[in-house]
Parts: sequence; C-alpha cells; structure tokens
Amino acid sequence: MKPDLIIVGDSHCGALQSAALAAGLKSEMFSLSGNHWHENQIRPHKRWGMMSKNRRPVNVSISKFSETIGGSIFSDQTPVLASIGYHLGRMVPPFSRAGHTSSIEQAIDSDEAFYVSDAFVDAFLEAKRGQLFRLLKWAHKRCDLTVIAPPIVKDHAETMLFRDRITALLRDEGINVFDPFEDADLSGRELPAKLRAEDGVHGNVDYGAMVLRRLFAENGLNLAA
Amino acid sequence: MHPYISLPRTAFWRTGVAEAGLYGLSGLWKSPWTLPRDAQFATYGSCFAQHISRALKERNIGWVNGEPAPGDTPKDLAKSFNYGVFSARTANIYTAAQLRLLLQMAVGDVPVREPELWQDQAGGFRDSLRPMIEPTPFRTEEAAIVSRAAMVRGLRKSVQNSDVFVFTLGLTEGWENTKGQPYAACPGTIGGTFDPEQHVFVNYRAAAIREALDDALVLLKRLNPDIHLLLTVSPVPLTATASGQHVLVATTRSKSVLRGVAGEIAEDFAEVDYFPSYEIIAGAPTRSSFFAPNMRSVELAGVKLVMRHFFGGLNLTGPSRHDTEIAAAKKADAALEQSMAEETIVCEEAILESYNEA
Repeated sequence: MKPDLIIVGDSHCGALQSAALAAGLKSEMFSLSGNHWHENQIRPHKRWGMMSKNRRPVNVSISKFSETIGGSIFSDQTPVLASIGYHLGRMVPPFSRAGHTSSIEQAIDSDEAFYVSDAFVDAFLEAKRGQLFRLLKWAHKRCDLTVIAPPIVKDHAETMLFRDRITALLRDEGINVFDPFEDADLSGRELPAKLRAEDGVHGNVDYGAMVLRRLFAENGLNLAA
Repeated sequence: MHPYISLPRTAFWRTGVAEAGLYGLSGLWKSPWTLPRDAQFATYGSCFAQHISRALKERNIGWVNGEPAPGDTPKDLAKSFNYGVFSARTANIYTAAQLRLLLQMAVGDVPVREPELWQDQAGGFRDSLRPMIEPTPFRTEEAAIVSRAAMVRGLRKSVQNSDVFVFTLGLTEGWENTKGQPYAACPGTIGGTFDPEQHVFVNYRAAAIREALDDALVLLKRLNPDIHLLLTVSPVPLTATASGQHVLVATTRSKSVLRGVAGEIAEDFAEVDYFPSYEIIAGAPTRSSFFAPNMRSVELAGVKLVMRHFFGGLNLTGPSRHDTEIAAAKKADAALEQSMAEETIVCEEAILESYNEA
C-alpha cells in the first residue's frame, strides 16, 4: 500500500519518522548511516529511486524498501522528506582539522587559521556531495521533495558555513529545502535541550513534530498528492 | 710534485666524466651537513622544485607542508588549487627578489596587504605574487588578501618546522612595479593589465641576486636559527625573454648568473649549499638527452637521475629532532578519528532506535 509520506536519509530521519507515526501518518522511512551518504556513491535508479554504486547490501535494502512502498522512493505518488546532502559530522571535522576556514572574519581573527576560498569550498562540496546533489535534483523532478536541513546541535562556525552553503547550492538547483533554523525562534540558536534526543546530537520526537507542523502549516506539504 | 698529482678521479674530466658516462657519474654532490634521521625539508622555487617536493613525498622523507589542503581533499582538487605543490601555496617563485619579498612578509617586515592585487574585468581579484594560484580569481579583494595571509602563515610555519629550505633559482628576468615590488609574471600575461608607465622589466644582475639571497638567508634564520639553505638552479630554459637577446643567449646568461651566485653564496656560508641539478640535466654528459622534443621540458628519466644523486648525497644519520611534533600530529589525527568513529556509532544507534516502534 502506498504510504502517506516517505522519509529518507541519514540518522536525522528518526525524529521525523517518529513524529509522523505519532501523528497517525502512514509514513515509511529508509535510513542509511551518514557514512554511506558521505561516500557520495548513492545515485538515481529508475526502479528503486536510488542505488549505491559500490555497496551491494545497501542495494538489497533499497530494493526491499522499494517493494514495501510499491515502487520508486521518488515518485509522483508520495511526498518525500529527505535528510540527504549534508552529513556534516563526516565532512567538516577533517576539513577544519588544520585550521582551515571559509570565513574571512575567522581567518582575520585567528593566527592559526588558513582561509579557503569560496571557489574551493564549492569544488570541495562537488567532490564530496556532487552525486547526492544530482540525486536530489533528479528526485526533485519526479516527486514532491523537501530536503530537511539538519538540526544545529553545536554552534561550530565552519559547520554552520558548510550547512548554509549546501542549503544555498540545493536551492540554486530549484530544490525545496526546509531549514527549521531559519524560523525566528530557532534562528542563530543551537537545538534546545528539550528538543534533543538522549544522545544529544539528534532531534527527538518533539523536534520532529515541530518540523512536520511547520512544514504542513507554512510550507504546504501536500499529503494528498 | 704538484697539486694535481694527488687529486681523485672525479677531479679529471676524462675519468670523472668521459669514461664514467652519464649514469656512471659519482660524487657530484655530498651534503656537508649531518641532518637528523627525520629531517624535514621545505621546498620552494621555480617549477623544477616541484620534482624535489614530489620525490621527498614518494620516499616518505620529511617534507613540510606548511599550508596543507583541508583534510580529506581529493588529490586532483588539491592540485588544481596548488595545495601540496610547494611547502606553502606560493606558486612558482622564479626570482630571488620574489623570495625575499615573501620572507619579508613572513617575518612581518612587509604588510601582507602591501603587494598589489590585480582586478580583472569581471571584478575578480588575482594576487600579483601568484596570479594563477586558484583556477578562478578571488571574488573579493578581502578574500585575496586573507588567502595571501594564509600562504604567508604557511611559509612561516614551513621555515620554522624544517631543517632544510630547498630553493630552486629559476630566472634572472622579471617584472616589477615602479616601487620595486617584484611580480610573479609580466602583468597582462596571466593576470593584470600591462602599463608601460607602471611596469618595469628587470634582468637582475649577479650583485642584486646575491643581495636578495643574503637578505633571504637572514630572514630565514630569523624564523629558524638552525635552518640550512640548499640552492639549486633550474635547468629549464626560458620560455621567452624580454631582454632583447635571442632566447638561447638569454637563457645561458640567466642560468650562468644564477649558477655563479648560488655557488658563491654556498662557498661563503656553512649553512648554505648548492646541489647540482642544473649540471646533471644540462651538462655535456647528457648531450641534452633529458630534454623533451621541445628542448625545454625535462624528461622523467632526467628527474630520476637528479633525485638519485640528491638522495645519494644526503646524510640523514643525525639524531631525530622531530619525534615530539610527529607524535603530536599522529595523536591529534587519532583523536579526531576516534571522535568521528564515536559519532558514527551514535548515528547508527539512532537509526536502529528509529525502527523501534515499541
């Protein structure tokens, strides 16, 4: 049976899925470790919606999920929420390990910083996330896709810069990105403790519910599609 | 009796060169320094210096990277932004005057903002000291300046952390502005706009090159009193000359002056030495066989022979000096890996938990 909603992506899917189920939605989730997404090897697949270039077990999981939902993850039948394309915990710490920053202000303020140009950051993101961006662009043409920007759990300057840049690059491609932290009450803040999961680095069901509420109310997520 | 009686075979052309043959040449260079077994080398200069960087890395001999690419940068991407080519992103330093200016910035004698930026017609900015350091111009003036500051910081770090500063002299010909700031290239060729009122051709003479190298040595020692300076001369001929001479004659003039100055400064300072890559590639024994058909590019076989003599002449038998910093770097890397591994576990647990509908 076709679900009301498909949630696909990394570990940040959990909060959304829990909230969707709690709200009585027939939501189906397909989640992979951020490491798999970070490999930048997931690409479009006509029948399943996506496939891994190099991970057979992942493809087995995707095909099973495809059977569960009765077709492609990305189809015009069901809206899709995606936590895909960011996976900042795998990318930013190594990037900034030696003091690299894409912020001119940070570079001026620190004697240890190495400034990295915007052109380099874009090329770096293309190398690290290009396949995922193309997957999302492809999916966007086939379904009602909303990419959900990940929660801000630590006010780390470089992480914020990468998060914002990825959001901008996706929006430049016409992809709908919903960033809960652009709303006034969360803007410029870390995820409040009451909205965090026990592990401290993911949102909890209340956070997921807040995101879904805002998506429905403010962004017109259409479950009837 | 006379002095030639007791000289070694290498002192005579017949036995040292003619009978030895190109691949039988020996004793061309022996380092006068006993370097630590974990000696660190910083490499800069004209394009031939890149071969030394690469050879050190290939042999896992300490090559200092003062301005590394961000972690996990793919090799091709790093190279296209000139990371890992030299010990900081200076790009090619063709003249001793350029080297002096860069070191003046590294010690703080010249403000990083002082050398010119070149604005292109689309509004982007290129650094007059390294106009092609990135594939596209910097978007803002400030971005170009802070990028230059990062390079200067990397240069400073590389000097402070190295035992040997290897510098390959490339050219005597260069361009300066009317205030005496050297450029990496003639304005208008790969950036900037040529203005005959503002831009001056200079064919540096031996005395000026020697003065710039003397200054550079002082600046290097201000950053690292224990540093050694190893000079080489690039055997690569000039692409073009603005001297008015035939390019072949201009090339000989340029290389001869550089070779002469390098030899003399090496004779004058115990902490300066000359490595004869120029002779190995351009000397008579090769019959120019190491040059590609364009008679300019150096073939791999020539580079390999240069490196054989280089590594054969190094003396890396002194006690280690860099154990602590190498161990600290490894520890920091391990800590980051551990932290990322822990986060991975957290995320995978979060995924599993999200399937728990109980």
